[in-house]
Parts: sequence; structure tokens; C-alpha cells
Amino acid sequence: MKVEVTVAGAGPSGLSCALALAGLGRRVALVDDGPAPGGTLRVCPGYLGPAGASAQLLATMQESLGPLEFMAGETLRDLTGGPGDYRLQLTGRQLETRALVLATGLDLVVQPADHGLTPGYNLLSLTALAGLLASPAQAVARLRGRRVAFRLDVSAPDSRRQHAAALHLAAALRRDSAAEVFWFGRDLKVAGDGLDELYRETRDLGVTFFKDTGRPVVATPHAGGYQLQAWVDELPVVVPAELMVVDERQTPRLPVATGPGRSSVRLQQRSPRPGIFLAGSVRADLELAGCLADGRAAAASAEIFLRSLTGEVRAEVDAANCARCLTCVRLCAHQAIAVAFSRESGRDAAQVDPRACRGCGVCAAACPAVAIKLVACPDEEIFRRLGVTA
Amino acid sequence: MRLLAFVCERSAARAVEEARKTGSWPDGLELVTVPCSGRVDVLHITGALTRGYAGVLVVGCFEEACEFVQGNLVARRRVDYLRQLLAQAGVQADRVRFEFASPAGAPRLVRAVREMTEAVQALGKGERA
Repeated sequence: MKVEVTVAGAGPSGLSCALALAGLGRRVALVDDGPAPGGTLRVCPGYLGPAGASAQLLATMQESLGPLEFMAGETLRDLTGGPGDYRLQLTGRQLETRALVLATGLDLVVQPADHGLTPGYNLLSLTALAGLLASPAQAVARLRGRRVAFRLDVSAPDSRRQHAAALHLAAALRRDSAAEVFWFGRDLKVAGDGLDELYRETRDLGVTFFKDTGRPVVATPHAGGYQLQAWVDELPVVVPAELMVVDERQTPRLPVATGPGRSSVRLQQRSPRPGIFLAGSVRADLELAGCLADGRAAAASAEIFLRSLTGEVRAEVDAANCARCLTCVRLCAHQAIAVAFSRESGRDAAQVDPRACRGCGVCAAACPAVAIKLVACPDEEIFRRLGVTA
Repeated sequence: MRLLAFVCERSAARAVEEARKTGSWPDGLELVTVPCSGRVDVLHITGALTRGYAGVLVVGCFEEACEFVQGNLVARRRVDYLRQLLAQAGVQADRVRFEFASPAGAPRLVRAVREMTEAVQALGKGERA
């Protein structure tokens, strides 16, 4: 089967990316190892935001999926080929695709050892707590009136994503189960969408925040639960808790294996391979709003890449006439122009990267040597309209 | 008297279309549609003036609304520069103007065009030396 873009991972980032690309008229295949789209939104509602809002968002996105090809229960086994002509081996089928967006998200693993503890019945990860809160009422009732401590910034220091999740969960715990909630962590990360307000709401609901100021918080097993010791104004504060919720170590889930003759992707801010794009939390530590925006940004990058494949040249430089004055380089808002050696003229000249050029013509109008021609709207055409000859 | 407007296809051209639909678009203005107002060169404007157009209007998107980031601002700077040159050369600078427009801003654009037309009419046809 042939498509233009394959989006691997149907979580919030993958969905928003696939929808944006489909909106641009691209043939998209959305691949996920789960039975239905949604990723964390589906598996773990209440983790990325209030459970109800997550379900609503997912329903809206699923509705707009429409004719988009969704492949359930498929994982990426292998990737061969090159930019513009990748071949994907999935579990059950093969896909030919021009570009690939990896929105595969994170593997979250709880590491009790990071906290100096052994795995225990009353040590929960954030995702496990979200699962528990989403389960039937009797499970939630078991949390009623309990003393719960959140211990953050240990396995994943300063994770905005986990801070956001923990804030949502702490608010839900306080509201639905009337549990006593304590929060131990470093500086709160509330720069995301609406998180500042959520923090204030959580605080007003009665969650107690302890900020780690240099002296580490110590958690020790105590009477079937845990005892946490924090420092407030150089004085020790001891909080016994029946349940401790800890953060998880996050590892980007990159499905592509490396090997001889294989196209590989290493995790970095940007995929080093043209035509392969990373979107969402696989790329950076993002909360829900960030993931949705990042999906759309990846779609825009993929769209520009696909356009470059058709070889559509928007601006041409007459290398022999180029004065190398750098006016065009300076003016191009898309950084599509650079001065480099030109084979045709045997000297340095401005060169337009068709993948980045958007065809606005700012360079063509500014070039003092009149060496740049905008293909869609050349000077001759404008002067002809005016009845003037250039 | 001939007047010319360079219009950005993303904003101004759509505003003109809208104005034509409602019948408020003034006659006697010739249009050249460009992909971005930043495409308009000083030479295009002076070319139009020497060819006998009495006034030239360049219309671009509002600040921050430019699809190409800053094409509109580049164009405005260019027009300002040309106005200075014209003034030094003894040509009334008001014959050349830059206007911002949005696709939904047809009435505002119509008003700007009317103002421009009146101003140029007051200046007269212009004589070539």
C-alpha cells in the first residue's frame, strides 16, 4: 500500500498531526499498536487532563478522522529506503510512504530504587494512580480519606508533563475521594496551558505543597506506609502517608531498529534523516497542549518536505548575475537562501533551497542585480500588466 | 486619470473581491495581484508612474498576519523609502501609498482607496518633464 505520510502513534500528538496533514489533502496512514486511536487519552484518561475533557477531546478528534486510514494493532518492525521513498515493514503488512512522523510517545517505568525504596503494594506510579481513579467507584472508594503523598522530580527531574499530570490527579483525588494530599517536589512547572490556574485550584482544594529547597526529602517505609521528611525553614516536617505516588522514568519509545543498511533515527530535537519527523513527547517533555501543537508543527514540516519532493522551484537565481551582496539572505524570513558555490557558473552565488522557499518574492523584489526570478510572478509579467517593458 | 494598486493575494485581493460583491468597490482602479506585498519592487512602482499612472497603492496584510512573516513590513519600508526619493526628486510623495488590509476588511480598504483617489485627484495628473 502506498501513502504520502505515515504517522506512527495515534496518541494526541499523532492524531493532531494526522488530522492536520489530512486537512492539507495528503494521503495519511495512522498506525498504532493499540486497538483504537487515542494513546494515553484512551488508555489512561485523567493523566493528561481531567478525564471527562480527555474523553471529549478524543471523541472530537475521532469524529474528524473520517476517511483517514487507521491501522490498529500494528508495530513498526523495520524501515528501509530513503527520503521520499521509505518502505515500512509493519507487523501485518507493508507500507510505502514518502514521509514518516514518529509520534510514538514515551515508555514510563516506575523506579522505586530511585527513591531508595523497594517495590511495594502502596507505592504507585502516576499512570497507575490515573488508572485507579478511572476504574469503578469501589476502587476509588478505597482511596477515601487516605493520606497520599506525591513524590516528584526524582526519576524524571523537572518534567513539565509529569507535573501537569500530578496536578490533575491531585485535584481529582482531593475532589472525588476526599483524600489528604501532600506534594513533595522541586519548583512547580506551571508554564503550560492553564496549569497556573490548575495549581491555584489544587491548592484551594487543600493539597499541601512542600518545596524541596536544597535539602532532599527523605522517604522511609513506616507502619505499612511511608514517612516523608521535608524541611521548612530549617525545621524538619514529618508526614506519614499510607500511599505514595512517585514519578516515572521516561524513555522515548523509538521503534526503529538500527542495523546495517537500515535507516535509523536517534533521539534528538530533530530527526537527522530527511523525511522522518518526531512529534510530541517522543521529542520533548510536553504536556497535552504542547503535544497537540507539536503534532501540528510536525505536520507543517512534513508538508514542506513533501512539497520539496515534487521539485517545485519557486525562486530561481541567475548565478552569473548574482552580486553576492547577501540582501536576499538577510531578507528571507524562511532562511531559504544561502550563498554557496554554484556549479553552473563556477563561482559563489545565492542558492534557494526549494524545501524552505515559500515563494513570497521578497528576495526577487530586493535583489539589486535583478538576479532572482520568482517563477509564479516574474518581473516581466508585472511590467506587462503595467504596459511597461523592463 | 489612471490609478494602480498592487494587492496581496492573501488579504487585499480577497477584500477587493468582497467589496466587488457588495458593489462598494470604486471604479477606475487597476489591480495587479502579487503573491505577497513584499514582491513589489521600487522599480515596479516607478515603472507604473513613468508609464502614466497618476498614483500607486500597495496593499499588504496587517502586521503579524503576513503569511511570509515580514513581507508586508519589507514592502512598507520600501514604499516609505520610495516616498522620500520621490519627494527629493520633486514628485509629490502622496502619489505612492502603502495600506494594510485584511481579507475581512473590505470597508476599510474601500475607504483607503477613496481617500487615495481624492488625494491624487487634488494633485492632478502630473506632468512628465
